[in-house]
Amino acid sequence: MMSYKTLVGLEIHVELMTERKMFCNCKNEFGAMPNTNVCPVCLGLPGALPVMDKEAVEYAIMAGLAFNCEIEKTIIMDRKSYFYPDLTKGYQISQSDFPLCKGGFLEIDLDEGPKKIRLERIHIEEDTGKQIHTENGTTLLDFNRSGVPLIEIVTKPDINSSEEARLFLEKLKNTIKYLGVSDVKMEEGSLRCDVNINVIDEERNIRTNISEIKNLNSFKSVVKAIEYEQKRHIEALENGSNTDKETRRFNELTGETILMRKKFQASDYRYQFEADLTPIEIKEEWINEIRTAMPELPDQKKRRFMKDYKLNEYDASILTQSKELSFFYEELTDLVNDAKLAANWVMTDVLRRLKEEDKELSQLNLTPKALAELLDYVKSGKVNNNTAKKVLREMLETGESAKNIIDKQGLIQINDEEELSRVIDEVIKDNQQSVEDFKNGKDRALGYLMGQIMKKTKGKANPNTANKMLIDKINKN
Amino acid sequence: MISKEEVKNIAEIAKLKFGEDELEAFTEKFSLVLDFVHNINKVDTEGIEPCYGISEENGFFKELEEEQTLDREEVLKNTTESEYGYFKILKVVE
Ligand SMILES: [Zn+2]
Repeated sequence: MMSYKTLVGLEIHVELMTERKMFCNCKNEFGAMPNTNVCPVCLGLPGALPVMDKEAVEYAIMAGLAFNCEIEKTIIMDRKSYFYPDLTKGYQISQSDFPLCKGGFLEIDLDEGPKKIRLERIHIEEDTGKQIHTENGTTLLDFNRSGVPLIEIVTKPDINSSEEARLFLEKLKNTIKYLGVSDVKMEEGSLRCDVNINVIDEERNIRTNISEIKNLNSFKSVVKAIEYEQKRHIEALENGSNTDKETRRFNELTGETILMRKKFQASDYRYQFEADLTPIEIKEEWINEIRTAMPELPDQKKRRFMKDYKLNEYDASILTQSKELSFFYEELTDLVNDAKLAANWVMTDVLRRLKEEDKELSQLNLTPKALAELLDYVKSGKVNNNTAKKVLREMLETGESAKNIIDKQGLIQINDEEELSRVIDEVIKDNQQSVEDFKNGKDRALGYLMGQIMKKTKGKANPNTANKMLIDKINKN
Repeated sequence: MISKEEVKNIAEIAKLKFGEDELEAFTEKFSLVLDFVHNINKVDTEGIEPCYGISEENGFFKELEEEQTLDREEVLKNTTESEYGYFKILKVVE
C-alpha cells in the first residue's frame, strides 16, 4: 500500500474596506455605477502619481497582528509587470521582497486537536479593474475596483486535506470579520482564494509538480477542486508520470479543473522597486496603538465565553464561529440572564433554522430581544419547551412577538393539577389497551398516552407534571 | 549569448510577435544589448547598502481632502468605444 501526502498552500486575496482607494482619494465602494469612482491615478494616466493610504496600511497591520505575524519596519512597494486589459499601467503596485507582514500562523481545530497552519507572508497591493465578458466577443471594463487596497495572505503548504482547507478558510474569514477590515464576501469578490497543490509519494519520495487552481468562487469550490486535483495527482504518480507545473481553472458545473496556461515564473513579472512611492517608516508606537485598539478575536472570545458563561469548549467555539452569532448570543444572555438556556436555544433552534434556509443571521427575522421575551416564558415555566419551539417558528414566519402569539392562542402551560388530573383520567379511560400494554412493560405505550394528553390540552400540559401524574395514576389503578 | 527560446519567452510576456527570420536577427541584437548592460556587474558593490529610492526623506501618507475623481464623460472621452459606461474592447482570454 502506497502512502500519499497532499500538500496544499492557499493564496487569499482580501479587499480592505477602507474609505478611499490605496493610492488616490477615489471612494472605495462596491456596486457603484461603472467608472464613476476613477481618477488619473487609478486609471493609470501618464504623469499621475500614487500616494499611500494610511488606513489601508493600518488594516493590513491589524490582520498581521491577528495572524501572529512580524510587522516590517518600512513599507517598500514594488511594481509587478504584466499585460492585461484590467491593468492600465502595465504593472500592479504590490510587494515582492519586503512584505508588510512576515510569518505568522492560524490555528484550526481538528478532531485530534489543534493544528497550526503557518503563514508565509501577508503583503499589500492594489486591486485591478473588473472585466465583464459579453457573448458577442467583447469585454467591458470598469475601473472602480482599480486601486482598491488588498492584502494577499500566503500560507505555507501545511494544509493536508480539503477539510483542513475549509476549516482554515472559515477561521480566516471569521477572524477578518471580527477585525472589521473587510466584509469577506466571496460572492462579491472581497475574498478570493487560489489553491496550490501537489502530492508526495512518501515511500518512493517522489512529488508531483505544483498546480495552481484559480476561479474558485466559494468554499465548496475550494473543497471540490482540492479533491479533484488530489485524485489527478495521485493518478499521475500511479501511472509513473507527473503533473505539469501549470495554472488551472475550476469549472463549477463539471467539478473539474482545466488547463489555463503554463505557470508564470516569478521572474516573468520583472518585479522592480516602485520609485513613485518613497519608503515609509513604520513606528513601533503606531503598531502598539493599532494593537491596543484591536477588537476581541474569535479565540479570545471563545475563552471568555468558557470562563464567564461556564460553557464547554464545543459550545463556546460554535457560538463564536461567526461575529454576528457571538454578538447575538451575548446580547441574548444578558437579557435572559441564563447562559445555558440561551446557548441551547441559539445552538439548536436558531442555528438549525439558519442551516435549513441557508441564511445568515442578519437575514433571519429575529432579534435577541424578541427571542429573550420567548425564553422568559420558558424560564418561568409558563410555556413548555415544545410549545416554545412552535412559537419561535411562528415568530420567524410572521414577525409577531412571542407575547402576541402566546396570548392569542392561549398557550400558557397548564400547571394546574386539578385540570391535568381530569384530562389524564379521560385519557386512561379511553385507552385501556395502552394502559395494559404499559403495565406489561411496553414503555412505548407511555409515549402514546402522553401524546393523547398533549393532544387534548393542545400541547399546553406541563410535560413533567403530566408524566408524573400519569404514571402515579396507572400504578394506583 | 541569449537563446532563441528565451527570446521567444520574453516576446510572449511582452506580447510581441515576430517571424522565424526576424528571430535570428533579434536574438543577436538582444545579446549585444545584454552584454552591454552586463557591464554594470563590474561595479564593486561590496559593503554598499541597497537603495530603495532617491529621496533621503521618509515617505508620507496621503491627505484625505483632495479628491480627483473624474466625471464619467471625461473618463471615457479618449476611448474609441464604450457601452453602458464601460470601456469596450475586444475580448482577451488567456
Ligand atoms: Zn482614483
